[in-house]
Amino acid sequence: MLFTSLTFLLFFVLVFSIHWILPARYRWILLLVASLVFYGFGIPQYTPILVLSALMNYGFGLWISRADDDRRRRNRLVWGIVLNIALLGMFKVLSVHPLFTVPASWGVTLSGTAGWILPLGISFFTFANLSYLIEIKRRKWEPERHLGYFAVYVTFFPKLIQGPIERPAAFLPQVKTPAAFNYDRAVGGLRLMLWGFFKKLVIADRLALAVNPVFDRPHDFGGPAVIVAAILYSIQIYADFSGYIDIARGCAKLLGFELTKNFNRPYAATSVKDFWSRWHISLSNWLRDYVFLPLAFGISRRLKKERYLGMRTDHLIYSFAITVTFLLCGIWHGAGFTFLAWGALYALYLMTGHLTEKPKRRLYRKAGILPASRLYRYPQVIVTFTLVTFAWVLFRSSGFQNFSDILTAAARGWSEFAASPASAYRQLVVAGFTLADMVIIAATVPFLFLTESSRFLDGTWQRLKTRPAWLRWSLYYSVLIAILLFGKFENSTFIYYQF
Amino acid sequence: MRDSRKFFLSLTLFLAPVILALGCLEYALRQQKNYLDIKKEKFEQVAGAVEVLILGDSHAHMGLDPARFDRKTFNLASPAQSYYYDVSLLLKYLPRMHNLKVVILPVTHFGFYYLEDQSHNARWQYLYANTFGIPLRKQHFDLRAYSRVAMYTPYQGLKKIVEKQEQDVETPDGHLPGAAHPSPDNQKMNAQELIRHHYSFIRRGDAGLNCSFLNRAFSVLRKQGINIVMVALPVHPEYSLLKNKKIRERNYSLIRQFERSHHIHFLDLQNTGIVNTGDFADPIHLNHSGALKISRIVSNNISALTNSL
Repeated sequence: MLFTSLTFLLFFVLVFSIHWILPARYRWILLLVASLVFYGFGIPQYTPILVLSALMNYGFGLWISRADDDRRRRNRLVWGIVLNIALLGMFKVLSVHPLFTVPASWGVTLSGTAGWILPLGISFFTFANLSYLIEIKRRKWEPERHLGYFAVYVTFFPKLIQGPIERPAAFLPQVKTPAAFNYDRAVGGLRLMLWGFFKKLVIADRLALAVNPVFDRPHDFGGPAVIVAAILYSIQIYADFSGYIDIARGCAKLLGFELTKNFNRPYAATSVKDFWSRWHISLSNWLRDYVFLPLAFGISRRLKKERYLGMRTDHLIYSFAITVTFLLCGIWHGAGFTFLAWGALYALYLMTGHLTEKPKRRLYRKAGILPASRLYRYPQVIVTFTLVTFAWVLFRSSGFQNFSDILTAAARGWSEFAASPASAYRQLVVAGFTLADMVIIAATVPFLFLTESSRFLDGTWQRLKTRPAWLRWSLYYSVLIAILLFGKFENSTFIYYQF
Repeated sequence: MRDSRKFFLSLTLFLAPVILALGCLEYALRQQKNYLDIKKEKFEQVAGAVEVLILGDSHAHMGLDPARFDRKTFNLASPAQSYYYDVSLLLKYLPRMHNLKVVILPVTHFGFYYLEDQSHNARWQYLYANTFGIPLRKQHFDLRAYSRVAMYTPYQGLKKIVEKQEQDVETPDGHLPGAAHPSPDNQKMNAQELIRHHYSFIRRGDAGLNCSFLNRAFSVLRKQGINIVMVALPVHPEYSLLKNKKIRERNYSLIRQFERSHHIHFLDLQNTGIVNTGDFADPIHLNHSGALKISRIVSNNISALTNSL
C-alpha cells in the first residue's frame, strides 16, 4: 500500500481511530493485523515471507540467548545471519535475473523488472532483524519472549517498507509499554505527514518528469540538460526518501511511537563522511556499528606493525573496512553491478577524504581559513554535493551502458548551448517537463531547503507553537493547498521501494 | 482523554473547509461531462440499432468513420483504449445490441502488449470505472475509481471547471475526424520519438493477458454468430519502417492463431498503397481524407463478408 494513495489515507484513519479506542494492552494486535494488511495489499503472496522472517528471528533470538558461552552465542548468531542474508540474497538475485519471472497468474508486473519483484522492504526488515540478533548476542538486549510484540517490531507498517531501520532498544519498549495519547505529539505527527506529502507529491514526483526522460534516453539530450537532470535527481531522491520518512515518522507519532530521525540536511554536508552521517542515518549507523567498527577492531587486533606495504596501519585498516562496508551498502541497495560500483565509488571518496584530511586542514590553517568560517564551509558543501550528485548518476543508471551514455551525453551539446541557452530548456519541455512544472519547482525547492535549513520541523515549528493559531493554521493550509493543487497524484512508488 | 478530544476537535475544524471545498468540486465535476460521458450517451441512444461496432484505440477512433459504412455503425474506440476495455465495453453492451453483426477490432503494432495501467495514461482506467462502471483490471479498492476529484486531482478538476465542458469533437457516431483534432502530443514527436515512446510502455509478457481477454470476447461473439474483423490500419511510412520485425512477426502469428481458433477475419491495410503521406494527421493517425479512404475499403469488405454468409 502506497503512503501517497487515498487507500492508505482511509486505512490509516481507520487504524488510528481503532488504535486509540482499544485498551492499551490489545493495541499490539491491531498494529500487527494492520501491518500485515498493509504489507499484503500489493502482493499478498509475499506476506508469508515477512511472517517467516519474523518467526525465524524470534526463534533465533531465544536460541542465541540460551547459549551461555560467547563462542556458542557467536555460532548461533552466524546461523541467524546466514539464514537472513540467504533469504535477502535469494530475492536480490531473483529480482535481477531475467530467467526468473513472476507467475503470470499473480497479475503483477512492474515497469523495468527483469525477474521477480523483490518483496517490499525485505532489505529493511532483514537489517532490523539482524540488529535484534546482534544486540542479543552482545548481551545488550534480552530476547523478546512475547511473539506478538516481536512481530510488531518487525512488521510495524510505518517503517516496514522503507525504514528507518529501528534498533530493538529504541522500538520494543514502545510496543511493550504503549504511550498515552498526547496532543502535541499527535499534532507533530500530522505536521510531519503534511511536510512529507509535500516533499513527495509536489517536489519529488514533479522532478521525476524532468529526470526520467533524460536518464532513460540520454541520447536525446545535450550536456546542459543532463547536468540539470543530475542535480534535479539529487533533489528528487532526497525529497522522495526523506518525504517517505517524514510520513512514516508522522504516522508513528500519531500512533504514539517515536521513530529514528533518518535525515539531517544531508546536502549541507561539508564532506562525504559528513554526508553519510546525515543521509539515511539509520542505515549508516547500522553499517558503522555492525560492519565497519567490528571489522576495523577485528583487523587492528591482528595487525601489530605500524606500517604495511609502506602504508600506515590505521589508514590500511580504515581503507579495508570502509571498502567492505560500502560494498555491502551498495549490494544492500541492489544486486546489480552499478550498485556495487556505487558502493566502491563511495569507498574511494571516503578513503581519499581520510588520507587527505590532515594535509587539507594544514592548508586551510596556513591560508588563515577557520573550519567554522563560511569561506571553509561553502566550497566544501559545493564539492561534496558535486561528488554525491555524480554518485547518484551511477545509482540511477540502469546499467553501465546507460551510465556511459549519460556521461557521453553530458560532454556534448555545449557549443549549441553557448549559441542558444534555451536549447536545454526546449529539450526538457519536449520531454514533458513543462514551463508550469519549472515554475512550481523554482518556487518549492528553495522553500524546501530554506525551511529545512532553518530547522523548520524541529525548531521553527516549536517556535511557531507560541504564535497565534491563525498564523499556524495559515501555514498549514498553505502547505495543504500546495499539495492539493500542485501535487502529482499518479500513485508513483517511492524510489527506495525497490530496495 | 482531554488531549484526544482537543485533537479530534481541532482536526475536524481544520479539515472541515477543505472537505467542504472538495465536496463542492466533486459535485461540480459530476455535473460536467468528460469525453467518455459524451461517448457513452451517444452510444446508449443507438446501441440497439448498431450493426457494426468499431472498438480499439485512437487509430480506430480517428481512422474509421462510421458515416462511410453501408450498415449502421458506431465507433466506440477511444484514445489509448486497451483490449481489456474493448472487451469489457463489448461484453457490457452486448445484451443490448440486438442487431450486431460485425465487431471491428484494430491491430496496432503494440496493442497486444499494452495494458492501460502501465503507460502514462494510467489515470484513464479510472475514467472507465467512473463513466462505464468497468472495474479496474487488477481489482482493488482505489478511491479514484469512485471520485472524480480523486481521479482528476483537485488542480486538474478546478481547471476543468474553469475551462467549462469538454468540447465534443466527435461525430454523432463516435468518430474523431483526424484533421479536426489531431493528437497534440503525437504531433510534437517525430516517428522515431513516437515509436520509442510506444516501446517504453509495452512488455512482451503482457500479450498473454491481452490474448486471454480477446479469446473470451471472441468465444462469446462466435457463439452468437457475430463476425469479428481484425484490421491493421495504415501508419505513416516513417513509423512503419521503424517497427521491430520480431514484434511484427509475433503479431501476425497471434492473428493467425485467432483465425484458426475463432475464425476471425483479418484485414491488413498496411503498406497497400491506398493512402499516401498526405493522409496522416501525425505519424500514427489518419486524417480525415485517410479515414475516408480506409473506411470505404473496410465497409466494402464487411459488406462482402456479411453478404457471403
